[in-house]
Amino acid sequence: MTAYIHATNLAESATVTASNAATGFGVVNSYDRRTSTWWKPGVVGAQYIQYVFGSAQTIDSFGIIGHNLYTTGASVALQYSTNSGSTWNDLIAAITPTSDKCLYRVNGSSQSATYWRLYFTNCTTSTLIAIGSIGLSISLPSEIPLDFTPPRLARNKTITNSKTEGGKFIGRSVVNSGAEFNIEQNYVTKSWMDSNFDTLIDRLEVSPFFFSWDYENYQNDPVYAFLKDVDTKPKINNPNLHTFTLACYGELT
Amino acid sequence: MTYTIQKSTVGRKPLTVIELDLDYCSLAYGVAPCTAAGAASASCYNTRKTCQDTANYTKTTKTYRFCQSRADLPKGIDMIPVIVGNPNLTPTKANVYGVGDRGKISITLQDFPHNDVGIDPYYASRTYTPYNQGTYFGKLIARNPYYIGRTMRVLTGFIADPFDWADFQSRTYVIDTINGPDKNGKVTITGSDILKLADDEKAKCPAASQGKLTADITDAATSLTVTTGEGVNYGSSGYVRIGEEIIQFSSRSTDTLNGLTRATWGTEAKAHSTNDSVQLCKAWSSINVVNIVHELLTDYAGIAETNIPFDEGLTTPTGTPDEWDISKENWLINTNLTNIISAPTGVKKLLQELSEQCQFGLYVDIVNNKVRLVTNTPPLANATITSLTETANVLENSVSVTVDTNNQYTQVWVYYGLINYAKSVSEISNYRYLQIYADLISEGANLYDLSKVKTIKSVWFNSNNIGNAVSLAGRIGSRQANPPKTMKFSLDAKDADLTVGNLVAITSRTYQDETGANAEFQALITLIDEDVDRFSYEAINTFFTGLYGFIGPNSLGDYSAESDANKRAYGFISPNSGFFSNGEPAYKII
Repeated sequence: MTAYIHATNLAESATVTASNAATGFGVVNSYDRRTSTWWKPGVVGAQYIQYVFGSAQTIDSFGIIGHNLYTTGASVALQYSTNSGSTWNDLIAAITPTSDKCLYRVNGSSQSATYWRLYFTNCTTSTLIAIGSIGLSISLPSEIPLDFTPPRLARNKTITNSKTEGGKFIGRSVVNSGAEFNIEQNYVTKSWMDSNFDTLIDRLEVSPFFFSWDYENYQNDPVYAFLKDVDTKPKINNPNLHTFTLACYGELT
Repeated sequence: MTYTIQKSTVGRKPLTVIELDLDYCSLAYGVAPCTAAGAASASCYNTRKTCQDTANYTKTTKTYRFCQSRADLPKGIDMIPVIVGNPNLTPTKANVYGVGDRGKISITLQDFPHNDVGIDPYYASRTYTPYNQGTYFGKLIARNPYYIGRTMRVLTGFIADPFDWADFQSRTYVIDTINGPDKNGKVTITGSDILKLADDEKAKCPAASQGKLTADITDAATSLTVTTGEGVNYGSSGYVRIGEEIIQFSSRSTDTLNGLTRATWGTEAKAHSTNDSVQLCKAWSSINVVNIVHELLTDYAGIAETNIPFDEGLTTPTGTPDEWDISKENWLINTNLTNIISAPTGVKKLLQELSEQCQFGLYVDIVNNKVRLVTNTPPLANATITSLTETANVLENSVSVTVDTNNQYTQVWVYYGLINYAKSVSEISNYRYLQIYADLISEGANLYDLSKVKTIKSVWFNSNNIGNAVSLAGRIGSRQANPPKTMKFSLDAKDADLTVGNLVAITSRTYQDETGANAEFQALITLIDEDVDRFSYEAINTFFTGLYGFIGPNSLGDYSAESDANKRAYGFISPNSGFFSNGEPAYKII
């Protein structure tokens, strides 16, 4: 039961290009951190977003949110090249999503290369993604505690009923504000805190992140999360153990 | 799906979207005809404020779209989810006593860092990183300061699958202000409905004239000359005002007005001096009030013909009567007015006078972006009246009835027939005629036991408008001898097909008859306040005392033999007693 966080989108430090981009749906939209802009190739068949770095980058995972790969029947793979893009190798083989929900995959091992790409097959003219993120994931040191509400179930909805003077139900509105949940970590060692906490929080304060609370058993329930606030003050509940909570909002689709 | 269907759906998902239409240059920097020649990094932003070749600036419109943040927003639709909360709508209020209040809107948005993609066409050439420098609205406002008076649309509707703009209703406003971003990154955009264009500080009739006398003239002069070059602004004939005299001219030669008729419109001929202002006047001679209102709105307030449902007023009429044509035919066909405006006067002030004196209200239908005209008349027999009840329609805790004693009048005095059109119109001594309507029964000790007089000084009615003066006094008196009542109530979106000007009949425990039973409150909708899915209304009761009807066809029988429908539609002559055999009072001519 491993919880992963994918906090840094290395696309933001790469030279990013795409095989195609429809007008108004440029590839820059795929790494602007916002889920209200999209990259859309606008043509059918195999398409890609390519990332070229100044030096080799170590990567083990990718995340995609705001996509319609399932609806349009497309697949996605994470690939790397060690010969400047002449040939490509799968780090994470093609996945055909079973829904349009958030997609997050972590490979068991990482790879270092200068050329990377997200490779999409069977695209239609309507295929699009809002965010495509590649980078290294960090596994959280502790298991998620038992009273955790998984993001998929952590509905943040408001309903407004219309009831007449006579007590009759005549209408209802529903406002869906995504997910709201907490990531708790208990019994975290001092050595882990010293090595990872500041770096992790510095990244999470700036940008949304992909989160999977139980990668082995709930691989299809990740979330594109962002901190509610930055008041994450760890506490010590044992001379050598820490506890901290990340209060988050999340997008599921 | 459509908006009407979606709003009735249980579990509907409301969404508000706004669109701003701001000016934008259609040219590309440095590409002919644009002659700008700076470095790529120093390109303009395709806005007038940043233009480096203003001679070739080619204005078009760019639409910026924002929406509320929702987890289930459709994918692939270009709109930025930064609207905070619900828009604050100050609804357009129809005023049965004149020009309605301005409908206003205030929307708050959250500012945010932005990479300028889709905003700055040359973002890739800049020497700075747009995402790290400034914010979306901070930059937008700096690049586009000329937003006042531009168009803003507010679309309210519902998210469905598939997403469809047909599920939204659009309202059009004119941008008033864009304030912010404040210290919390909040930006507030306010707008008003199109009648704002007629506000007194914006629209004047007539426009101020720049011409002045170039020489003294005597009180009998038959020509005068204005400042060189100004003559063209006076037209070929018409009226001018100098001091307190209104003078007619029959022709013009360059800057000289010829064929003067002195001392018109009740004024006195006087000598005038060099440099005295010569103000062009606007005159109407027996022109129908609907046509005058149309002219004020289109020629002086700049409201487009398409915003006014008046076929006769179109540059090319189609021949199919529209709303104003029908209202004119039914109620205002005999309201032909003669007046002269001899000093620049706010258009809104003139519209208020006309609407008050000719008994109609003007307001903006914000959804259809039309200026509506609602006459102060009894409902027609075939009028559509929507019935609502507490049990089935009216939302809980939303009903109240208030009595407006301020607008109760037992007598109406109408002064008309202005004597001197250049002298004060507020002086009663400047009017020839007085028409009085007095409801002495309502004033009596057995009824209200009070006398309240409404005084109207009509500059628009002259000796040819005796009937109009009688009608004005009679209608106000008939409607307002009993203090008007206003009912407020709210409906769920599914029942909210009502618009301002519609008639409703509401049965509620807050309005009872003498036996304590819920009575029917028949009223005219004057205000709609939307809050996504809850529509709050104000309606003023439409009770005219007495029976009213049109003149019927010859085929009708006696009153006692006719159907209820025909009794409601047409007027019948009563016996000399003033009452019919069933005890009902005689019809009145209003």
